Amino acid sequence: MAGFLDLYDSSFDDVYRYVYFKVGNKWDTDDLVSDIFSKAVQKWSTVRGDRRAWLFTVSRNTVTDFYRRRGREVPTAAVTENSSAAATDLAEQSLALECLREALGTLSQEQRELVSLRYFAGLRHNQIARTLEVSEGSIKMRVHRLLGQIKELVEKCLIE
Amino acid sequence: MSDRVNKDHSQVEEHLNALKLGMPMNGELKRELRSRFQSEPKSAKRKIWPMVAVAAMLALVIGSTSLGGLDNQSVLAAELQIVEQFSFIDLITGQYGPPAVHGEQLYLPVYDKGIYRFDTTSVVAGEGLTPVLDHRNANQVAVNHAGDKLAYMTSKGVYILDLNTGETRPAIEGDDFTIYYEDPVWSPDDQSLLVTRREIEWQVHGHKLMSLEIQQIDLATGKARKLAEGSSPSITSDGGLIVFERDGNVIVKALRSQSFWPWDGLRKGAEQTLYRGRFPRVSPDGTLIAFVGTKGEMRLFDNDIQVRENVMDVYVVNLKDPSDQKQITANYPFSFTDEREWAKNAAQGSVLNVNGYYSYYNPVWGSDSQSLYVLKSDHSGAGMRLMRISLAKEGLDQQALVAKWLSASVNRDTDAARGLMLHPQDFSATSNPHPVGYTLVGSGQENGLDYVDALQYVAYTAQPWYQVRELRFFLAQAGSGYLIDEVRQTADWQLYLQNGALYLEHTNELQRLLSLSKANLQEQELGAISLSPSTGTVYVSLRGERGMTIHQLQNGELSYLFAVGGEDAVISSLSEANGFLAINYTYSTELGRQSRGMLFSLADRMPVQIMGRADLAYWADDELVLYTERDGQVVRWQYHPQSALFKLWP
Repeated sequence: MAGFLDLYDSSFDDVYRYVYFKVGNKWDTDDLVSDIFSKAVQKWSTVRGDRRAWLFTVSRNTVTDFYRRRGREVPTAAVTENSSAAATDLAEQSLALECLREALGTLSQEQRELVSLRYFAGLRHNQIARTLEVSEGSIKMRVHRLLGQIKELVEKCLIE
Repeated sequence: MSDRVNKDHSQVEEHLNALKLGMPMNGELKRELRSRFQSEPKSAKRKIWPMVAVAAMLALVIGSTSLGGLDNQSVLAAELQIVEQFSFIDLITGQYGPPAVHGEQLYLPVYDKGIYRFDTTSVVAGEGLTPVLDHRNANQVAVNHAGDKLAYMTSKGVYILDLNTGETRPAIEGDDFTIYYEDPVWSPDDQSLLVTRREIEWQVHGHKLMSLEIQQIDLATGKARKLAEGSSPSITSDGGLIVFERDGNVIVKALRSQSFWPWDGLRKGAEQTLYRGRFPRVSPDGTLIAFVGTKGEMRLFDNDIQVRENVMDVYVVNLKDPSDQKQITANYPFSFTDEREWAKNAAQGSVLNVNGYYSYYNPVWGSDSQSLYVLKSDHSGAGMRLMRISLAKEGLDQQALVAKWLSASVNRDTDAARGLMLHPQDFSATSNPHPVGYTLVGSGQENGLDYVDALQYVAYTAQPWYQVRELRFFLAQAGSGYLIDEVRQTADWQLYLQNGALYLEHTNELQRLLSLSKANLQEQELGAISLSPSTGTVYVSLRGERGMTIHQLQNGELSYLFAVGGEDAVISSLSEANGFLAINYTYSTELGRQSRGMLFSLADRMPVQIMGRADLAYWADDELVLYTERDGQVVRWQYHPQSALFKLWP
């Protein structure tokens, strides 16, 4: 159990933000995160390999369950509306952040998932690869392309 | 070129990280869940430190039983009951200072924004806050007894705002470099202000405190006179005593010689140390002092390894009998370190310091001397939050007490729920499944013990699972009121989906209510469901081509009621009470994912138009509690469907 608590301590914030990004409100996020860790603790003794990657597989499946219908578009959270004072301040300071939010809203479901796992969940490329069940090389390439796409979208937004 | 690409990408990555850090994080949930997963600590040798040292009271001479000039009716602090406590008044985004209260008006300084007034009786949901002063550095406010002037502090000095005219004038000013004035408090006659004068000396690294003294500023002449050395002054309603803080102690000082017990040994200018504590504040009626104290405990392990626990709480003490006190918050120790594991590897003589989950600051009395407003922060980094605690000599009646507990568990306010328990336990109100409403159903006695029965409704977020729990709350007499001694589940009805069918389970009886295949619902998915405890009717939500639809289930047949949101709406929970269905759902907008609470009248078969916008709704007995969020404000209000009446502060 000590190992589980270590993972819990190091991953809670990332799991919370990963779910929040997908669900968009505190109340449902609280419930789903509680659910994710309850599932994780029950299965903890049977888990082998990269446990952080496994935890985010549990997180991903739990959020998908929330939306239930396979293939349903999992929307981007209202980060602008519901974020904390810190985010509000940042938004005021940086037009680039506003543009970044807009850019995220235009991405495909798969691309948003990639952003979410890489930057909000803080997973490494190989962990994302395990979670999405694709090769690490493919993930690296997709992330690289995606960053380029986001950069272009942000630049376009800044010019406008 | 490659470097340039990486650099450009690193900027995008930096912004993504900034976006991530700006997202909310629930530190309270983190702590609650962790404690649930953590195994029980093994016992260690325990040594209890003195909680709050009562100092030198024995030196006082016993005399008359009343205190000159103050209310002669003795109020026993220990008998005060906490009749209401809630701690999530996120009124406005920003860093709060301590509020000031006059009647139903609450003045709240918000750093970098200004001072706001909040009308606690307002019935306009989401419109409780009114800007009073646009001054980004205004902090620490005090409203006079007449309610027409507001003293506030800035880095330059203490100023007075005329609330009728909007005019501001200085009461006293420092130099904004080495001399500062803070902690303004009005004298009983409103003719002067008590302030703390802080003098510092700048040094190569930081500054050194040169003096800290309490001064009285005559508002007519502007003259200042020193009253004591210390800070956080407060004054009794007769002006005879001041109470303040010095070196972590709460101290009483006589401004004139006292002739009544227990202060009759206190000559003019004499001081008496009362407690270890901070931020003392005398109630407007002069009978009680509220302050923030710290309870210490030490656990000893082998090799002189120590765990030192220091947990901050708010206390109320009887000014006429300072040994009479009551702890009115229920903080608890908090650490992410497993102390047993830590102790195994710690060097000899190591000390692990553990503090409380919450930190409390600046208790402020309501005008009626029966409520306290307290600032608190926690480990989540969410900033200051304002908590209101209502006290009364007569406690809540039994049913009201249980209703408060159930309400606190539904709205996830564990701090408030713990305050209503005889043996506060560290429990989590946030979980899946989680409570979404309750109804009180009766009361009585069992083996000589008073109890209250209630039904608690429990749902699983967006999933076809619902439970009605019958709970029996055993109550214990505490002072003149009650506290919850034990909660026991006596029965339950569980509604769930299994193998394509909806079942109702009760006391080992299993009833199949609906087969999805027989009802030709294979292409649809069952979402949140609900069971009416009064009629036994089941309500189900379905996801299909028409989006989210809600149906009533009777005799194995579904009848359509209405559709919710757009195609991508997700219903988080349904709960029925009193002929109305409360629905929480989320849906997509141009601004992203939004959440809503709504009400549906089963009699009229149509949604009920509720004033304002609600983001979350749950049942508190026969009333609907709604949360509204707007521009960073979260306001909780209450709606009575039968009468269509609203009120704040449930």
